[in-house]
Amino acid sequence: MANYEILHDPDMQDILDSFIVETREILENLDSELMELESSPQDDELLNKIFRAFHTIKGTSGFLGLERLTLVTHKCEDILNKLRKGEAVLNSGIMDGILDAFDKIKLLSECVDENKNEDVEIDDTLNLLVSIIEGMENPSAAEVKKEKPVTAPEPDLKETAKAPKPNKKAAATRNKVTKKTATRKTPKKKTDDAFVEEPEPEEIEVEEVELDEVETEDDTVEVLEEDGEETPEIQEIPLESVGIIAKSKGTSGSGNVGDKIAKAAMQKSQESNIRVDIERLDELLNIASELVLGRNRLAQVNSDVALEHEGTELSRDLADVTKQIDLMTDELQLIVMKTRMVKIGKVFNRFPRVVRDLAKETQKEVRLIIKGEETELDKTLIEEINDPLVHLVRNSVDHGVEDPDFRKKNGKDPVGTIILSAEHEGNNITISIEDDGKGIDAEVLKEKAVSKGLITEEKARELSKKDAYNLIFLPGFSTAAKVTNVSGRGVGMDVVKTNVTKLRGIIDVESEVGKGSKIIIKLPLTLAIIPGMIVKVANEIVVIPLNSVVEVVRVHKDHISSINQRQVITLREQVLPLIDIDTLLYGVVEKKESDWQYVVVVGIAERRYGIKVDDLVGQKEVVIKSLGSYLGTVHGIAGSTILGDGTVVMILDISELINSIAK
Amino acid sequence: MKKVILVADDSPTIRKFVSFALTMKGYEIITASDGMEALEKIPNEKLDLIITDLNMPNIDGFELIKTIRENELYKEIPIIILSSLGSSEEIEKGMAYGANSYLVKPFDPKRILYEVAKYLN
Repeated sequence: MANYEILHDPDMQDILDSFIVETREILENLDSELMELESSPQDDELLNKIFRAFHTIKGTSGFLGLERLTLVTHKCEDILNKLRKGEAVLNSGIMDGILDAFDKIKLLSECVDENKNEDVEIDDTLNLLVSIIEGMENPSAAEVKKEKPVTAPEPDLKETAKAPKPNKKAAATRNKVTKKTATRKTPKKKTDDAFVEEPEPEEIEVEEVELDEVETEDDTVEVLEEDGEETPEIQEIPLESVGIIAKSKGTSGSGNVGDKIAKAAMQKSQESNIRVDIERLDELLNIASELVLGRNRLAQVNSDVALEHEGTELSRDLADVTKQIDLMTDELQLIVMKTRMVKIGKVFNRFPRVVRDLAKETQKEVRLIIKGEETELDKTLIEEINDPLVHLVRNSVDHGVEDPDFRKKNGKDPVGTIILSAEHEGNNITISIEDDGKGIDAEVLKEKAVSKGLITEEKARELSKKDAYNLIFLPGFSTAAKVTNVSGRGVGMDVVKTNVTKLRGIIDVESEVGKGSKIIIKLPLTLAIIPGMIVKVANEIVVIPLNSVVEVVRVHKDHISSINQRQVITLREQVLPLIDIDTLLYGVVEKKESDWQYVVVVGIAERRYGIKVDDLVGQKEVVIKSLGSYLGTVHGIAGSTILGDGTVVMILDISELINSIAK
Repeated sequence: MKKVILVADDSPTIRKFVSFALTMKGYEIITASDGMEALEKIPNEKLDLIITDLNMPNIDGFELIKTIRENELYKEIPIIILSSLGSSEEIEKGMAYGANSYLVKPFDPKRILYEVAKYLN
C-alpha cells in the first residue's frame, strides 16, 4: 500500500486541490459522455474525448502517487484505446465495466479529497476490467466467457437487433437538443464548403446554436479569464498568430485549420472560468440588494423634489442622476444575479445514467430526452432541486413507463420516452418531467388513499381529478403495490413537495390514463430579489411574493360559500379554501363587508388557496431583508423590505401561513 | 535574464505541478492548455524551451511539434515531450517529429529539472 505522504505535504495542497477540482469536472462531463457513447458507439470524436478523460486522470493521479486511481484509469484507458482503434465494438458488457470503473474512480477521488488516502476496494472492478480486456483481445474465448458474468441473458443481441431504430431516433433527437453532441459532430463531418451546401434545416439549427454559443460565451471571456493568470488581450490575438504558423505548415498539415480554430474558440471560452467562493457572491448580492433599496428611495425623493421645485436646475440634475443610478442599478443587479446562475445541465447530465441503470434494473426500455439544459438558475436552487428531480425521474421510469411487452400490446412504441425539460418563464423557471407511460388513474389513487386511512371515503368522492392527483404528495402514500428497491429509497413524493415548498415553488400534475403524465415544477429564479405583489390587508401594506401568485380574481360575496365553517370559492371546478390574512396576522379584526372581494390565488407546491385582500396596490421588485437577529423568525413572515417612500413592509411567507391553517 | 519555458498540457494539475517545480528553480513559466493555445502564445514570447503533452484536444502534441519545427522563426527551440503515452512507437514518432527529449508520466520532478537544465545551461 502506498503511503500518501505527498497528499499531506503543505506545498502540494494547491496542486492537490487543483487535481480534485479537475477530476470532479472531468467526471461530471464523463458521466453524460459515456451515456452518449452508448447510443452512438461509433463516434470517434467522442471516443477520443472519453479516452482523454481517463488518460488525464491517470496522468495526474500518477503524479500524486495515487496508485489505485492510476490502476483503474489505466485499465479503462486500455479498453477505450481498443475501441478507438476499432479492435472491438462496444457492447453493454463493456459499458457496464466502464461504468463500474467510473463509479470507483468517483469514489476514489472523493476519498482522496476527504481522507487523503485511497481506502476504496477496487479488486472487483479490476477483475471485471481485466476480463473485459481479455475478451476484447480474444473474442472467440469471450463468446463462452461473456455468457457467464453478464446476468441478463443475451443482452447484446437483443439490444442491437431490436433497438436500432429507436436508438437512432434517440441519437437524432439528442443531436437537436444537446449542444455538445452537435458541435462535436458537425465540424468533423464536413468541410466548410460542404456545410454551405447542406440544406437540412436541422443542421442549420444546430450551427446557429453553436455560433450563438461562441458569441455569448465570448462576452464573458474578458471577465472570466482562466485563473486570472493570463492577459486578456490574448483573446484577440489567436486568429492571426495561428494563421502565421498554420500557413508555414503548408500542404503537409493534416486536418482543417479553420475547423480547429472554431473548435478551439469553443473550447477556450468554455474553459475560461474563474472559481469564486460562493460567500463572496452572497456578499455581492447583499450589497447589490442594498443598492436596489437605495435606488427605490432615490426615485421617491426625486419625484418629491420634482413636485416641489419643478423646473429648477436642481430638480433636473437630480432627475438625471436618478435616471442614471436607476439604470446602473438595474444592470448591476442583473449581472450579480447572472454570476450566481448555473446551467441546469449540471443537474440534468446525471439523469441519463440514472435512467439507464433503472431501466435495466426494471427491465424496461426507456429513452430520455433532455431539453433546455442551457437554462440557468441560482446556484442555491440548483443544489436543492436535484433530489426531487431524481425522485421524479425514477418515479417515471418505475411507475410511469410500462413493460415493453405491455406497451407493444397496447400499440405503443416498446421504448418509453421520458422528457426532462427546463425553460424560463418570466421570473420563474419551469422544470417538467413528462413520460408516455400508463398515466395516473385518479380513482385508483382515491381508493388507495382511503384504504390507507389518509382520507375518508366521503372526501374521496368529492375530490376532483386534479385534487386526486395531489394525493400522491401525502406522506405515507405510495402507488406501487409493493415498495420496490427502486421507489423505496427514503425520498418520497412528500419530500419532493417539501423541497419545492422550501424553494417557494409550485407543483402541478397533469395526467391522462394510458397516455402518460407530466409533473411541472415552477421555481423562482432567485431567492434574494423577488417581484412582489403589494396588497392592502386591514389597512396594512404587505407583500405577497409574485411567484406564489397564480392569479387574482374578484368575487362577489354571493359566490363565497362555506364548508365546515370554512370559506371557500369555486374557481373553474376547483374548490379553493379562502384565507383571511388579517385574522391570521392580527387576530380578529372588525371588517367592513363589501359586495366584491379581491382574492389572490396562491400556489404552494401542489395546493392552491385564495387569499382575501382589501386592495391591490401594485407590483414591485423587492429585496428580501431578514428581520434581524433581535426579532428572529416571525411566524408567517419571510422578511421585510423597504418601499421607495421609506416604509418598511412585511413580505409574507405564504407556505408557512397556509401550513398553520392546515394544522 | 530569466529563461522562459512554455508548458502545454490539457490538465491544469500537471501544468501547476510542472510550473511549481520549474519556478522553484527560477525559470519563468508560460502555460497553454492545448496545442492551439501554445501556437497562439509562441509568437508573443521569447521562448527558450517548450515542454508539451502529446494527447491534447484541438491540436495535439505531435502536430504542435511539427508546426514549430516547420517554422523558420521557432524551429530551434528545444522541445521536451511529457506524456503518459509510453509505447516505443509513440516515443519514436515524437522524436521523428523533432522533439529533443521524451519523459513518460508520471515522472520525478528532478528528472525534468535535469532535462531542462541540459538544454538551458
